[in-house]
Amino acid sequence: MSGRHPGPRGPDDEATAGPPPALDEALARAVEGAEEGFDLEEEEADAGPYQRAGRAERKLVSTLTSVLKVSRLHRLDNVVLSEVLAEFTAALGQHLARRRQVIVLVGENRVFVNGAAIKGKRQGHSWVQDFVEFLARFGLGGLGFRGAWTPEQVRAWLEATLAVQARDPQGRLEELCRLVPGAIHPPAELDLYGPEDAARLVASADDAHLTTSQKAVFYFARLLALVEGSHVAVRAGRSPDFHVRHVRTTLMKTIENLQSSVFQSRLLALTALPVDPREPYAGEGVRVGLLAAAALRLLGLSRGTIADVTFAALYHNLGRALVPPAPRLDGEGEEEEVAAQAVVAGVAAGLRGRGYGEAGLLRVIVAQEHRRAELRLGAAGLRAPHVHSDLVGAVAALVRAEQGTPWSPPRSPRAALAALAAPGAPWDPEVARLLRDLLGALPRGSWVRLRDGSVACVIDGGARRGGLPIARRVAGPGGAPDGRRTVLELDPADVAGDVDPQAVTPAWRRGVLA
Amino acid sequence: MARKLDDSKLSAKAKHAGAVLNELQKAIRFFRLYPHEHPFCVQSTADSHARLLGFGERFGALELQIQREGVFVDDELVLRESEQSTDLSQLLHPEGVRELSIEAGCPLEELRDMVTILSAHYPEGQEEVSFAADLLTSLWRRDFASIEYKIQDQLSPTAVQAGQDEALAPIVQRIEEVVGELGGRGDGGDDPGGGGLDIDAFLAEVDERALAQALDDKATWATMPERAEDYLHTPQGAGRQALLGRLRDPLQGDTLGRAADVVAWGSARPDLVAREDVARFLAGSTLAVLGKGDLQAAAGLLERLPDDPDVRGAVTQRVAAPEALQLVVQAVSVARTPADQAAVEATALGLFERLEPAAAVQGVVSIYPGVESPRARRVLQGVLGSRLEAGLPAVTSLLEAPDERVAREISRLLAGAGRDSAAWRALQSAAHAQGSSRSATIARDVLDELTGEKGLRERLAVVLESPDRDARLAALEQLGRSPRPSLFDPLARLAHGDLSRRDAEEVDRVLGLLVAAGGLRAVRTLNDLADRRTGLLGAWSGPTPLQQAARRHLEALKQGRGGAP
Repeated sequence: MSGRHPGPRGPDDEATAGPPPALDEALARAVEGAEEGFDLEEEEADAGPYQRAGRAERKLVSTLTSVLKVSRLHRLDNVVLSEVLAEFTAALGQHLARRRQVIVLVGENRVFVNGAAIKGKRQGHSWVQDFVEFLARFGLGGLGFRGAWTPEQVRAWLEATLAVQARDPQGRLEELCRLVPGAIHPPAELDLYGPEDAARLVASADDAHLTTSQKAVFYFARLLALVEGSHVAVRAGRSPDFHVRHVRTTLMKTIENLQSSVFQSRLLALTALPVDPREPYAGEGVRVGLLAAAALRLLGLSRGTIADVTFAALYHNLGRALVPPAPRLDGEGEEEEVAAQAVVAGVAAGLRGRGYGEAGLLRVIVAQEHRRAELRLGAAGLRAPHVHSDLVGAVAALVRAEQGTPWSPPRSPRAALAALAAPGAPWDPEVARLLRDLLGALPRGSWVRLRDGSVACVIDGGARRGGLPIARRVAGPGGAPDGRRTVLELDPADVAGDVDPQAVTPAWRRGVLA
Repeated sequence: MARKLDDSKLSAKAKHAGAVLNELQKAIRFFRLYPHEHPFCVQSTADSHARLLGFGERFGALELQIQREGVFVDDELVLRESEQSTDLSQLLHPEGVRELSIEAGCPLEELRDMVTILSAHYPEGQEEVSFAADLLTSLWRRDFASIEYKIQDQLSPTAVQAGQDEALAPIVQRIEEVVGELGGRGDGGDDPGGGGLDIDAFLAEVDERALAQALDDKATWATMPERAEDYLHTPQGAGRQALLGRLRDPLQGDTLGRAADVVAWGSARPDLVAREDVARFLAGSTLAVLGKGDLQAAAGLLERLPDDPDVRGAVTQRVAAPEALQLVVQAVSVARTPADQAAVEATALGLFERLEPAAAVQGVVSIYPGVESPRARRVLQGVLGSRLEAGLPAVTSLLEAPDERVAREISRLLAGAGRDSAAWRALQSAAHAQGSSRSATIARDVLDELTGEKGLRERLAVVLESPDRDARLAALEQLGRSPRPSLFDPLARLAHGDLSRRDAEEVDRVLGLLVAAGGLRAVRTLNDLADRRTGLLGAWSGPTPLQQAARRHLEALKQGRGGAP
């Protein structure tokens, strides 16, 4: 395809096409690919927008500029053009061999190749300026090359640009967008970016171009992918920290973003979604980590401490990667010997990791202590559990209850939360209260039947708003789907009762999403 | 070899920026070498701050681009990488920091904290980066108000969108898969139909409304991170305060000790917990606390090592490695008060007690020549001195150190082991080594010092050569207090030589010392002197003062009053 305008990638991109790869297999490749240590030679690798372009990027843009200039001076079958075309397609081919796409953007008087900046000379004319001027003439902010390109494909694109008749940049851009899709054919693909899209992408050091909901999804996905990778690594007998540098950055950014109440609300909503059955314990770990992080903010702890405990919470159940839970013969709960083995395996996995600071220590501690309140695990000679272990343990119990276990079906978030504070519950009541202060009495992901008979999914428990939840109506009084998916502030008095979690359809479950 | 930067072509802004950064790097170096209250550290941070303020007045915020080859301002290289570990580019670039900006009005306290973080030791090598014990996390934890940095993030949304290198591709694909499933691209994902409502805007609006209402409503503070501190001081917040109180309880909060307990507990399950993982974790944790200068915690951790000899060996091997011992040296060097110093030195010695003696000696020997701090050297000497048997050859090898100070200190250390020790014999052997190497000279020197031979030779030289009569008499007086047999031969040569030119008092004293040092050996010399004929052509001209004195001493010797006629 091409000639999409404006902007960034859409739903038809190849990443979403086709069935997802087998998770374990894909992540195992990542584990295999990663060295025990970290490749510090990141300079040559693709990177964020704070990287200076290398020789290869400069070569790519300079040959592209030559192609564009020569095409305006000579016929398209001219030998000079053929030479520069060959040079450009070779450079482009080298880039596309390593990456799925090459995005060349213009912004702040610089050219960015996949985020790496090339700046023009301070004095005199340069090919960088030629390139900037070319894009400006066509009202373009950038070009995205994908697939495989031959000189013929580039020539076809040039023909399309030469055929543009409009006199103003906006008109030229519109015309180009019409012409390019007919001129270029797969496997070559070209995306055309308008100046606003380009500026947004250039400015997006990290995530400025995403909406808050998208940002929440992105960081949720990012943490999930990394923790899943750790579980795969543990199963392979490797350190869970094979991508710890990225875990570190992800946690930092997630915790910074939690300062936005909307981000927190959207992120916590995602923790109510069912875990991916392909890697359920990593999914649980991420949910526990994010809920713990948000709860710790209510204690007024420093962000460093929050990061340490979140790290420990993300990996609290690493042992499950090796020792999955087993129900007791009577079906009443978990086989304690197996649970104890999982705890030891979790400690072992933590020891194999590389966290030697406070976070690493806490990971080992929490792995050992987080289930002590629930199970009679051998703990001779050990101290009573740490507060952080109590917190992680309670959050983990909440998540397990919401998600269900081999011996108990999923419970509604409201019931799961209430169970933490029920008489005889093993959890510190203050910890249970903290979670209620975080999630509200009717937590995100709860399914309720309203007095008018309609069904709604709670998006946000409304703890911050005096317990007034925000919900999305998914079915009207007669049971028919609510096509408008109305979002409403819920008055608890309007709630008739919980919907049986077993009756909640997968589509309903996604009601927490934007 | 780093090339020097030619700043003649730099803009005024770049030159000023370079001056600020040079000062800053100087501060980082001082912070590594001295206690942070040391005048050098105080002055260098004050100078950096003053330069920063000066820069701010003219150019505004100091915005730096960090590259491997150095630090740039507006694309001008203002500080070239000089291959020193205190280079800003060396510190920040590997951590992924690509831009650093310091506000014009950055307070001194923040600048000082930044220098402290940059100068700290992060013991895990770059190949072993770990969460929370690294420079970047330390910067982030400090949460500066006036200092910002941007890091290279290979998994940022932009980077993910652009695609990544092969090693990260599966992670990137999985992120994209999840983002797609959850509608994170704004397209509704697998479940299109967002109802047309901007949920973010809606939530922001209701939250803002709620926040405005909740400002004075203490009941809702429990649910607001913004009011977390305030809530603790309300009656309703007592329970949460108690929860935090548990965190502050030393026994609760001692994560290191608690983790050591857990490790010991896990070590009892060798079927599930690998010994090498236990060893690596304990060694890494010890190095992490050493990096913070906490010798006490490190010693405590080592004290609690499992009994397993393999684990102990592996841990102590790593802690005794030169780079780890440098951390001990650093901790000892920067101890502040004398009381601190004594305690730290004692703790450091205690820490070494936990290490395998041979490994400890080997490690100390490897770093000793480079250690500047006298306090730290004293500790290291203590370590070597108490483990000479475990590594005498290694210690003796330091006698050949290029630095004379080192050779001399080690010679004294060996001599201090006592005359019956192997170390003493090793020093003697070095002193009598063939040739006249510097190490042999130093060894002899030290041995002479200890045996008193050195002072004796110096005084004898005065007696034999000094033109100052009073000095000669004083030296004779001192030598006479403990006459050594070794004095006899040189004094006998003097008696046969120049002694006749000296006055009666001096002659008497020299001969007295000759008798005291030589005993009966002196009889022959005295006889020779007494019988010597000195008149013109052998004619008798009466006894000389020397002959008279010789006869007196000879007589006294015969009567058993040697040296005292």
